[in-house]
Amino acid sequence: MPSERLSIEKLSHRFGITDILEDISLRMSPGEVVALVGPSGCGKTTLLHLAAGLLDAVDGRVDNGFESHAVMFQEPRLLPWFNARDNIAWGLKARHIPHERRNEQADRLAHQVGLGEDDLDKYPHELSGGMRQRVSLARALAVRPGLLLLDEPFSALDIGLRRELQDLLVREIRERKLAVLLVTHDLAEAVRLSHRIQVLAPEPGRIVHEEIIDTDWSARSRQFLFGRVSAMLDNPTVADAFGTEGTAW
Amino acid sequence: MVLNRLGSALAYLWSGWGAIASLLLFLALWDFGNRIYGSFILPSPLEAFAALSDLFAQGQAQEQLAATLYRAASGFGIAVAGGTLLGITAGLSMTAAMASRPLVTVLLGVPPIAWIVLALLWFGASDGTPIFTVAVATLPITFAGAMQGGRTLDGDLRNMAIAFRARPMLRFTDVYLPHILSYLFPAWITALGVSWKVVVMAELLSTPDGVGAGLAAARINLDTPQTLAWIVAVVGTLLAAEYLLLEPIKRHLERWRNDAV
Repeated sequence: MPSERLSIEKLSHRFGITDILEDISLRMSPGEVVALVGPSGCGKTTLLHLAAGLLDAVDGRVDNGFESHAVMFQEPRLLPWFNARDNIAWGLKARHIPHERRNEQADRLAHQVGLGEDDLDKYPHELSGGMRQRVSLARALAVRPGLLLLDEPFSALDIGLRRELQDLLVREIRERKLAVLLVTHDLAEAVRLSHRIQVLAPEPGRIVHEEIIDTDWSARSRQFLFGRVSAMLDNPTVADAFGTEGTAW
Repeated sequence: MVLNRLGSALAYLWSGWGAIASLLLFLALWDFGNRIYGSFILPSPLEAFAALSDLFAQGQAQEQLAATLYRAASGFGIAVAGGTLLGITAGLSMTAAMASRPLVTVLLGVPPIAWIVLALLWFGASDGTPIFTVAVATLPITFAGAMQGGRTLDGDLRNMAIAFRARPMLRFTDVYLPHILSYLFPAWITALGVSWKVVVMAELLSTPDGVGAGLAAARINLDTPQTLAWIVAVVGTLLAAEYLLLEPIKRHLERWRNDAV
């Protein structure tokens, strides 16, 4: 499929008279993981929403050539009146997949993301935060997206859980040749997961730096992450974008 | 799963004991009143129930209750259908909400008795009078509930649904409607209570049959036991409708809530 890619060209966006994004260009191919990092308010979530088609761009073009995409948000955003199984299968329901087949797939995905058999009959309020986010990830994977859009998906979780879900995500990316656009404010997370990191500076949001990481995922140890993060922050452009220039670290 | 459901049904019935105990306490107080004021002013519960079973034995009670039930249900049905539909529309559109809120206040401000007079002039002594009065008295209640539900929809869930490319119909049935229903049900239960009271009042003033007419006849005959018998019949029917029908439906639909127990 030659046109399976996301291309964003000379994109600008405003809310009212406030410029949110300015002159953003970005291309993504299948299997590629791109992280958007930057401080709060730099417009990275807006950029993700534009890529997802939840917003229309004021200027420029967003071309999403992927056959399907799925979004995972910072909060799980599960439907509280459905149990875990029906929530996982809901994206398939929106694609008119028959009841039995989508339940089968939901069960399989639930297993992959580490949900137990008995969790599937529970309602969201009966699940822990980590379990809910697993359901949300399974729901996104269920629609077999070519492109997965992640909006700070793990930032509300504790370190152990975050690490586990990141591993899970890497496995899925590898197996499914997923393209992932990841929004995060956590540089270490970006270094751990992505091939390319786009650093956004705020007011208005614009890409000021691109970091390429071609080390294989399995070789990205803790030392490696620390090294790359501190090297990135040594770059004055990046430090400036985060507003950390001149501070001790 | 099945055991679970059976268990919660039993628990629901078991929770009825508390209600029954408080009803029995009420009957005791009633009986106490009878001992103080005598049977003419306040007949004992026993006399009232005897009068009621007389009414059933004559076939009177069934016939009049059926007539009243039909009118209350028709008016209530109109109010539920119309109020819910209009309310959801108003809840989803800011303009419609702004235009309709003063109208609802006006409708709520007109006393039901005034509607009865108007209805009498328009429909005469037919079924139309109580049905119209019930519909017009309960419509603002269902409307307000539906509008509140429509206005408080979760924008995050809406965005999620759009991101998954759910069609508008699926978004409505799976995302909006369950939320709106949790506002609708309490409103429907309130409307049911109001419609049951208003129908009896309308009948008392307008129709030759129905529970209201029975009450009117009892009043003319100064028959206090029969008056109380009709009241018991009305209240009993309402309690049955609420606790055996609406409440279980509500529990079933809202089993996903934390506080549904």
